[in-house]
Amino acid sequence: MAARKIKNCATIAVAISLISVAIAVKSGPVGSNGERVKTMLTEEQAKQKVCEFLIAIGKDSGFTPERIRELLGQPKMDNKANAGPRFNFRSPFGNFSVAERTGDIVSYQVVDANPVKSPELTQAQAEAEAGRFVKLAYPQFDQMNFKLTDVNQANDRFELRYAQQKRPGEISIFPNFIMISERTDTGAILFYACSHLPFSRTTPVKVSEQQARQIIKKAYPTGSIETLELYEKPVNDAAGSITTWSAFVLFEEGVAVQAEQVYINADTGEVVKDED
Amino acid sequence: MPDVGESINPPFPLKNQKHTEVAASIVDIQDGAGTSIMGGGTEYDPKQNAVSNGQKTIIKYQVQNQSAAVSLFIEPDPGNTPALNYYPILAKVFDTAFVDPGQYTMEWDGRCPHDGNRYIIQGAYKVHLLATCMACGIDVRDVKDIKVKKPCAHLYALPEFTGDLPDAQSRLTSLSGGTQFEIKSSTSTDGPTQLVEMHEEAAFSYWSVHGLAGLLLCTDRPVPRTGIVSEDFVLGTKINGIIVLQGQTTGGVVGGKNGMPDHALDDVFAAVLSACLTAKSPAKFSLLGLPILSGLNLPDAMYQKGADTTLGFKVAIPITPASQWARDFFDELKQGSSVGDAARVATSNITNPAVQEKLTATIYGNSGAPFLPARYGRKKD
Repeated sequence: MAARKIKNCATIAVAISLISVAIAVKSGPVGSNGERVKTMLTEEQAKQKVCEFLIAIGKDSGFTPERIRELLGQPKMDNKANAGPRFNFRSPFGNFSVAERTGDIVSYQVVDANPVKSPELTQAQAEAEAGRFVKLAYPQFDQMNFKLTDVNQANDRFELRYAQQKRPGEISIFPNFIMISERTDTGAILFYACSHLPFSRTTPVKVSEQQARQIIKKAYPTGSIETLELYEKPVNDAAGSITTWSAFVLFEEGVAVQAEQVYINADTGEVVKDED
Repeated sequence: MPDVGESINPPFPLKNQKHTEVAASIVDIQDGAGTSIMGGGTEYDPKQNAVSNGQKTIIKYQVQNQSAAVSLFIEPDPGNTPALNYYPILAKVFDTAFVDPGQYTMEWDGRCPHDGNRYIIQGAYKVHLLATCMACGIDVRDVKDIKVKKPCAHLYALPEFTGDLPDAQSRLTSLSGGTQFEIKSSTSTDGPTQLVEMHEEAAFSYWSVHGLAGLLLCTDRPVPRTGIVSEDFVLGTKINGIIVLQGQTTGGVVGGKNGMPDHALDDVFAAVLSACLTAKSPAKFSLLGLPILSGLNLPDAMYQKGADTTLGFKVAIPITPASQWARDFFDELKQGSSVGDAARVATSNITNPAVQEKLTATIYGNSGAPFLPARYGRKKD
């Protein structure tokens, strides 16, 4: 009887642990700022996300969501450190990458080989067009303290870049980015890529900037530290992050220039391998 | 197919009368060096034929017995699927010639007029001769095979940067199942010679080297930080007098008084300069009072010299993510993306946005042109 009770208890414990695992998998990991990362998507859900994206940016061309899903075809999977696992679709609507963990469209690309015509947009018009697009494509844009940090006009494209800025109280973030490439005549968006990782930290780190400099100097005695900043480095396929001192180290040997990005764990002082 | 019958006047006086009909055949097809390429046993490279040998492809044919209206045209072999898909109409049609019996030659520059005058893409082709007898209107045909080499992709690294090369080579090799490129991979410190070879052979060129503002560091000689260091490397070559200077504040340039000839890189489809500071414009510089720098950076200078698309980086780029950038860039090309889009995707895949900014390529030229099928650059008229 006692043995049966123990066996039953063991069975219940196993069941509870299995349920816990299932809940954990379903709920996904938690970001360092406590925001729970969303659930993993199925292929059909990823297709639905693309449909919603196309409708949001007005590029569904009047196709029904069912037809769009059909034309998207089979995705290929890959894994990027700034997005985690991704579904990649190549379709008549363009190329799309959907983050499996969050459902974000992290990359969109269309081909338009038509020659650029006059008149071309001014930079202000190009910025306005990009701003209109990102608000449709990146629903959290207004809440995430993005700043337009770079605008370039090269040949037939305007290339724009937005970078997330720290808020007061945040000492380290993963600075999410948005890249946009648009035609200089129509302003049509031909390339869009972004990240949407929730990693930030408000508590002090254990390794000071001075200590980090010493560690880097010891590891790279011939290098000079050009920049050093706190950075939430994604780990485990973007399921979480660790706080690092991120240093751009320049090596000048004679007339040759080399550089490396070096990461130091800001709590342990260990050199962290660059996953790129 | 050309129809020449209607253009002949008076039409065929010996039609329905007994006579010796015209005979016509292709006698030989030779590259610029005089080597026979007829039959397709010897693959030929139309760019190298034109650029290195400075000569055109020769098609020799003969007409016997009667005068004839001769048409020559070139079409992809039925088994050359890439070319069949690529060319909506015949690859090349020559003007009809009205000739008496005898032996004749036609010259061809290896280009396809329906494709912006690029050299024809690789694979087997049929060269057709169609001779219409001026006496009776009967058509006589001859068909011969030729085979066009894959275009050449150059991968070039300094000896200490060879890490990228095997990876780049395997990725480029796998484009379209290895049918896209003849790959030439080399390590060297002799950048100017690489430029000359790029001019003579390459459709696509990838450089993994050290960089400085406005130049690629092409020598490992102990030299002062400023000065002309490599003119002697290029004297006696076909591109004479490339000036490569060293020194972060002075930079260097391809061009200027002793520079590479205009249009020297017309037949280069793309050049990717994966190195620090390659797209940083050098400061204006003069030597002995002579202004010898135009202020162009190297990818810009290459573009000005005719390459369709070139790219480089304005700032120093960290080695490890730069290698990742290169891998993703080639993978994206493999998916059929243009050079510009492949560069954008590779950049967006870099994890750290601060590093991403450094690895944002500066692109010159038509970055949206499809990369596949591989081909040489567009002839600039």
